[in-house]
Amino acid sequence: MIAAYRKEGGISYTSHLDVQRILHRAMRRADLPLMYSQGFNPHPITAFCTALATGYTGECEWFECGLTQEMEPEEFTRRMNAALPNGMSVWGSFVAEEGMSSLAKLVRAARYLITLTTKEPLQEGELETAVEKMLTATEITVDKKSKGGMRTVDMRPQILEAKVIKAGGCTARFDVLGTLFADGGLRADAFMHVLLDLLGTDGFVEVHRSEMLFEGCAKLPRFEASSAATVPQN
Amino acid sequence: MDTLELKRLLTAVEKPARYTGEEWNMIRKEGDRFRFALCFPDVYEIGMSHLGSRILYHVLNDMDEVYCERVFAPWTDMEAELRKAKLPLFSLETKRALGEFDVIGFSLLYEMCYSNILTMLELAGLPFLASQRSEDMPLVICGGPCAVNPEPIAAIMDAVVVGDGEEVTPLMVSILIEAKRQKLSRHETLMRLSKLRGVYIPSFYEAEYAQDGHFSKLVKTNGDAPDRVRRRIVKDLDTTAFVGRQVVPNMGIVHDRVAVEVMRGCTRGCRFCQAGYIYRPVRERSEETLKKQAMELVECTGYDEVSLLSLSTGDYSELHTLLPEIMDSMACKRVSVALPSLRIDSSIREDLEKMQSVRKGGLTFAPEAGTQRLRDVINKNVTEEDLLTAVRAAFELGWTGVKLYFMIGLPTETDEDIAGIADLARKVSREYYSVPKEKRGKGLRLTVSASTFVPKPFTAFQWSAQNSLDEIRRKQRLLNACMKGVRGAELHCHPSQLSVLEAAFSRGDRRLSSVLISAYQKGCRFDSWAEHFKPQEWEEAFTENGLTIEEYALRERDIDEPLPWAHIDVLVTQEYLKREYDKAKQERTTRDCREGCNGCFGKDDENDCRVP
Repeated sequence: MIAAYRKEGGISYTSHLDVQRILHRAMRRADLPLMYSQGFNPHPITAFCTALATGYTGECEWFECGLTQEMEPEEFTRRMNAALPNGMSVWGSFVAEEGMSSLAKLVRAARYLITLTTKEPLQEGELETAVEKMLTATEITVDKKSKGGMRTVDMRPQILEAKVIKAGGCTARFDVLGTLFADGGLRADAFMHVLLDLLGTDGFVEVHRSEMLFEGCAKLPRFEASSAATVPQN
Repeated sequence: MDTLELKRLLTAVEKPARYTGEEWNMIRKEGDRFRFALCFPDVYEIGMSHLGSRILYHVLNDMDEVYCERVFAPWTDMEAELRKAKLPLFSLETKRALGEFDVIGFSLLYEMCYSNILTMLELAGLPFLASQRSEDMPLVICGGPCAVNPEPIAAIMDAVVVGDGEEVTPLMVSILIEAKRQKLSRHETLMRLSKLRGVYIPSFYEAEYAQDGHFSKLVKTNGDAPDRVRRRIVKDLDTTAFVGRQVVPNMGIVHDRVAVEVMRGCTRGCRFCQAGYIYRPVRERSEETLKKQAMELVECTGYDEVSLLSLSTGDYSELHTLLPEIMDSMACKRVSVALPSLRIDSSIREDLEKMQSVRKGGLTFAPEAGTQRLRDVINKNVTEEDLLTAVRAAFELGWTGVKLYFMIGLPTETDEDIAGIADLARKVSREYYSVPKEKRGKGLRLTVSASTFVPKPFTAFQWSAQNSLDEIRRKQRLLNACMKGVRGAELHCHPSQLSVLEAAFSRGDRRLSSVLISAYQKGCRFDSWAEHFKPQEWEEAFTENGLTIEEYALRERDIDEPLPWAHIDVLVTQEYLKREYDKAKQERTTRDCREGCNGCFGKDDENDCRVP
């Protein structure tokens, strides 16, 4: 079964590892015909598309889970929602097609709605100029922490679209489409870090992942190939 | 609280899920109700692992007119953020400021969490001392095992619950609701509470000290208060079997599983063990109740592990029928059953065979002392032969991880006893290597853990001196040297400085309230966390108040000396404890009271003990 859930409110402050455990327990409470892993510590077999950073909210978090019997997707959704804690809910599910690749292999991009709250009001013009500057830059280097220490990466190819959708006063909202693959992609907080540097200000950033786009499966939200030119091959 | 403010806080701290609530089975209530803040003076992961607090949460919320919410000690990063933002500490359920509750109730499980009480009170905007809190402020109460000697925190608490809390706490709350309705003064309210068995009102008594600086007596300042406070006990655990729908944390916690309490109390009578004395008599839950409870809890939580909890689950009289039945009923749900404690005796192979099917976690045995002589002194009735038979069975069944618990600094201990710990470890290691290679699991992991003995009130060793820090460290070095060459073994010695402070507080008197406040003001927090423990600051706090840690921890009490906790009646009599202290010195053991009554309760309370 492939399903998508929402994560909002207090529960968005739980880490990805904890979310996995929350889902496992919810599935057990829902009394689903679960497929279990082998070994002394069997747990339901699930696979997640990608992790959502702790503190981000999301409404399109896709995951897959193994069932031992066929089940109507509506029934799956209904039972899961009766067992999920406040702040998490499944809004859609479908039975995976035979031979389908894992979600992690198919994912290409994600859309982020980002809210910025600043102490001083910001002008719409300033915001647009800053975003424009990022989009026209040929290279945006940022430091990234990795296993082998700090590493410099170019963020520009990871930004597919970016625009200001609300401005005025001390809150601004941005709509950013970034690449997303199993092993990484655009980091919304890193994007905002660069943007805030350009604006020469500081503020509180809230990130909401509103959409995840895939290739190669008709039942999943489709990634439009028109932007593919800017997508580095995985 | 403003949501943006809350989000800012949560974004700024480590492990924000400690403060968000919203877990499965969290209780929600609307409208105006009597507000009880159930506080645990340590972080969420620890507090949520405490069964007693979980029971109280559901018992109190079972009262329609009450909304009981949880509050945990903020980790140092959250404390700093709250102070920076000038925000109060808040509850998990409704994010209400702690100072706005009607009652603030703390669970006290270990002395080294006391400094966190002060953090929580300060972040609630409340004065530390009960005498300085005004009529419109919340009542501050506490309970838990530390409450048997409430004197070190007597100045802070308005009321203290001594003994089992699940019956008396709702009774107290009913009185408080009535008092609020009638707009009674705090004094009148406390007076009413003092009529309940198990409730101690510290402000109704005053401590006096002798010329030599020792505690001399506690004087009643309110004629209507009881002379002695009798521990509260729940007689039948089957009638109080209600545990509610256990909250399932969103983040990992220390004991992340369903916990079912199979019995309360222990019949073994280990002379150092406070829990062994203050939870008497043994009260078992019936097999039926346990099976039902375990199944209900597994279904409403989704947990995949059940732990059968008690001080000594191996002693549960129906264990050999309960264990296979409960394991069978859980197996189809893919739930494993954990036994936190096994009895080291002839039936252990049988128990281990039953546990074969589940994951082979480490096995823990607690011989506590290295020689038979010292085990007789502490009345730990386990022989070397028993232990070796048990570990041999475990090794033959494929276990490779064994943990042995010992204590250093027990009364009458000599260097021979220390060497005995290493000898025992060596013999255990040899047992492993004597099992044929093809029969045993790969790679022995033998952990020898040595903690420091802390004399506790209401034990046979409440008069005993603790070893000095130098002496403990010398013995640790000696043990380390003796352990050389024990194959597959690793030695862990617990930091002893903390144990000395714990000893001071466990046998402390009322003067320690000021020491605690001084230490807190010097920055002491989370003392049981090695990275936060500040021994220097604690030492200064004692000095500033004209006291020393050594005076409390190291001094052997005279057998007739007045004890600061003597007004608390835990039902086990002081006469019995004296008898046990004498027998310890003579290296004589006392039988398990399942084999016959040893007369530990006084005449008046004999009937409270149902063990024949």
